[in-house]
Amino acid sequence: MKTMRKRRRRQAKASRKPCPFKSAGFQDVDYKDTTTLQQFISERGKILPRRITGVSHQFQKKLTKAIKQARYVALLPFAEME
Amino acid sequence: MTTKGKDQLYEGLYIISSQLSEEARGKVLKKITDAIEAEKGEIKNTIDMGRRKLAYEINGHREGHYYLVYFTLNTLKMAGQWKEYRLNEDLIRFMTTTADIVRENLDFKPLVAAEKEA
Repeated sequence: MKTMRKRRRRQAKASRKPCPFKSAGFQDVDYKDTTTLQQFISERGKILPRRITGVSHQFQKKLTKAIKQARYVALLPFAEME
Repeated sequence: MTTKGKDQLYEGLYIISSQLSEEARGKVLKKITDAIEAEKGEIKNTIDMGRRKLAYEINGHREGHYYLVYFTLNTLKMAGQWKEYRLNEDLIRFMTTTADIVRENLDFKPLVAAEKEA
């Protein structure tokens, strides 16, 4: 029981990372900007969840759209084989 | 009811086969831009993104030459352009999206450097 309480308290203290796009002053995410997009995909080419990257909800939607557009024009892979 | 549509700024990304000669590639691009101008569209800017390796193979192509074209066109005329593009065998892939601004180059703000400053 004690450990449970401790864990809960620790979770409550954890603060969210600031959104990297908002802090860098981005207005939009461009599908041609592959160097930026590559920071938000896994080694296998999957889109990383925002709980890991700290991207805000608004920018995660823009980012997802941009990654999918970049995949269509073969700038990014749909899936990277191991 | 008749709709006239409105002029919209578009950004078209075209991947042309890299197996073609520079001259032939130019002809393919000219065909695209001429088709836009024939529909009373206006070419605002064309950026040559160069030869790039495709992230995955498309119809046997591993490389392609990327071109970015900014143009204005009536919204009702766009579907007609896509029909033309699909018949063009030298055009590996295309994507047209609506745009807000006409880009002069493809220099993007780096995300990491900006983070360090903040």
